[in-house]
Amino acid sequence: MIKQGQSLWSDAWRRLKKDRIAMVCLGLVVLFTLLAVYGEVVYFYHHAKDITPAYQKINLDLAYQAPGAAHWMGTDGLGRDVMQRLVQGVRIAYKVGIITSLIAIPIGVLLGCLAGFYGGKVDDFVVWLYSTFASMPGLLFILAIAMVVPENGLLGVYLGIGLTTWVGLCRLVRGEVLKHKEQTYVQAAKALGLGSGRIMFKHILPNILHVIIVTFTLRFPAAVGTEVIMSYLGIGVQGEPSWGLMIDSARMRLWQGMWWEMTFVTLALFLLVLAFNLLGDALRDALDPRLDD
Amino acid sequence: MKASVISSAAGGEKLLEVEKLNVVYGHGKDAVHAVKGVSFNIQAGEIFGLVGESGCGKSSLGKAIVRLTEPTAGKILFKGTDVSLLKRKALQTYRREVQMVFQDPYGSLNPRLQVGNAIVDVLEVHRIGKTTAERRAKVTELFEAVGLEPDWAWRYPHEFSGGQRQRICIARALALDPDLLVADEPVSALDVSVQAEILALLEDLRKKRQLAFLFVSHDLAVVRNICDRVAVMYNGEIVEMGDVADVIDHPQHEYTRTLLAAVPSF
Amino acid sequence: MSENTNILEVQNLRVHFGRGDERVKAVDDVSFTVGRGETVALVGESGSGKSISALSITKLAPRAARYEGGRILFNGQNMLDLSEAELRSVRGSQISYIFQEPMVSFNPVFTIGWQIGEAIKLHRKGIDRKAETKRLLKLVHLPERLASAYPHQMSGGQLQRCMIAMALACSPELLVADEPTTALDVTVQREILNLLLELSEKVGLSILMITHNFGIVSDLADRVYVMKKGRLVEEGTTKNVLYNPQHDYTKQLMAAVPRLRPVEQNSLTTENTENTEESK
Repeated sequence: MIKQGQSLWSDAWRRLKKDRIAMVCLGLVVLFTLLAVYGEVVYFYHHAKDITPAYQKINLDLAYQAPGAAHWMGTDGLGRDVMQRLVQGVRIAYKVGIITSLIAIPIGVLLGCLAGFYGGKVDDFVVWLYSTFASMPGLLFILAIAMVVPENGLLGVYLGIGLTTWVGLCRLVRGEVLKHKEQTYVQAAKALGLGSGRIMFKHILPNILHVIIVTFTLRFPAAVGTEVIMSYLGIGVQGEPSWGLMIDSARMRLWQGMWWEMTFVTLALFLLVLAFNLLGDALRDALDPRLDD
Repeated sequence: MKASVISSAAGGEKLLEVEKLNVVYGHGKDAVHAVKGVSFNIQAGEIFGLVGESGCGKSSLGKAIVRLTEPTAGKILFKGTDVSLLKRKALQTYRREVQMVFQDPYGSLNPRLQVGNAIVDVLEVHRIGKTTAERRAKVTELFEAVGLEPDWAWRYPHEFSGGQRQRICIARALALDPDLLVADEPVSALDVSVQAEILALLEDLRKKRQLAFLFVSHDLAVVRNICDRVAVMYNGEIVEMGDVADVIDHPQHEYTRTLLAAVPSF
Repeated sequence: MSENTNILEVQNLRVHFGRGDERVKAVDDVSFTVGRGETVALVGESGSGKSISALSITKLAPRAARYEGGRILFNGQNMLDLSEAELRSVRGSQISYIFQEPMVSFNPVFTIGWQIGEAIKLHRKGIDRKAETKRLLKLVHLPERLASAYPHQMSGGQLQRCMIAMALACSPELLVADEPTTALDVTVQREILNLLLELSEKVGLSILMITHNFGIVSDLADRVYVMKKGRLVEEGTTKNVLYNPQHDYTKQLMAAVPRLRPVEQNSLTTENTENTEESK
């Protein structure tokens, strides 16, 4: 039952609040976000002043120290503090998640809207386009793009992931637009003389925003995971402490008894992905505009 | 099926003249001939009923008149001008004269927009009113005309009952001050008591604004009570047409008789 | 009326949703009976509680519903006391339902014959299902060959007949029909109503009909109960309630119903209204 005087958004928030797990995940997401922001501040500060940040300082004396008072998560093979590098990893994960979404979402939404709304040849073209992209092995395509882009490793990652993951969202948006196009309120808008653009963006889009939000929430951890794989494989991020690189370098040490770097990084990755996924599921339920229940 | 029985139309100013209208969906083998050469006219201020069962083409006919569906052949003369082929600006002007009210009051309103804003949106598109304040004033006026509290304009569709939503849809249709309203089963989804209120509202609007209606319905009893003349459709064609009392009390066509016999009434 | 002539007796039924501030009394102290071989109508507008009342008979109301009080006596036994397993054996075999939208009530990937067969199998083991399916289709005036047809190949009217066939598969004593013709065309509706009339006579079926259409009540029902917002507002024989309503609400409804032909007041006789109660 919807209470009087509420928009559908506030009602969705009310429903979300009731889900304890969702609230815990939201808390985790907020925590990670704060860490990412903090990490960015640290990075920016050091970069601007051209100082080598603490997490990059190599100090072989301190190498392979188990977690203790000075280093809560221990040090890695080059004596660098694992915890600080972990936080930097969050920052990189967030950058990847956000920027790839900023590339993939506009493409997916725009093409999906055009295809769904206009149909005909426009639809045929878009369907052909995303089918082609979908039929290519994703990771290889991403790697290819990343390798082609010179210098800055991260740019390659962004483009690679961004230009391949718009497909899922495009399909979804197209389906939703097709569904809404047949709704009476759209017919009414047409009869009232509203133009296609206005109907598409002012009327239909707000009604499928929830789908886009949920997709973003689920795509984010997927992008992070993909970046981890890429760094692990040696493509993309170099020099910066991304989780993929950390896992790669920690891999060898694991069976020498140095468990901390691998464990903490994997744990952080696991929590981030889990939190976003569970939150995404909860959001999907909360945002579902089905009013009669 | 016997040839159609059409009594001559009463004299008067013809607002809408439909001549041999055809609406075909799809092409080739899968083509559906929804409306087959239909002709009738509606006078200013008249409530003209269109009855039939599902698949008879009455909705398609209504939509063709509002140009939500494209007619494939024939003419639609509104105040003397053929509007069946109008495009863009001319079509936009035509939309200010003929509007539509739909069957489903729940789906007819954008759930994300405050109902008042949905109407302001329409006014904006047609450049009615110069400022937002003027447009909001018009919304107030419209709400009062349909019997709703003007304050409610700033609420969302889900906060209203079915009857209230239908009133909002009527207000929205009136925003452009049309001369003809095509109402496609406007009360079918409503409770009986609410139905009566909405019908009374339509009758009231007809009197106050000299508004003509094309009242599409499957419910003969409703049509009997509100319409002046009625056309019975079957399989895309009009099989009988005339004054509502004549058609319903003295049906001539076999199908009309079958239809009337089937209605459970008391 | 003595107990053995009533196949169903609902006494002071209360069905609520939600708690505290959000409590909704969907059915509030409602009592009605259905006699053997009788057709009784529950009439009301949306939100009146008529559907929930009917569904509650075998506890088919939505899961959130709470049966807060009253008794539902079917052949003398209180349905509210039965376990889910016991209720399941009653549903479909002694009390059958037909619903509003036949188009979506069937599984699209199985033939009609198979689905009717399933209904038979559920409650009557060891019977020649094919023969029985044929018999049922004949009972609802459908050609035998339709047993191998799929739902999408059939019209709404045909599907509703199939639904009736399925409902009758186990010779139930009571048929509960929830707005069975609302989604159908007028001429098809007439056929279904005639079929129901025929069946109630032929098979001695008792019918509880939920509807908002007074024309249907007039054609089909022996007695009618009028509900408003969860409460019973008026009851009596069809003739009395429809032509001589006592309660204001019923009068309002009668006034609001659009008539196909002008009502001739003088031809109606005012009878002594029996069993007319008003809710407190």
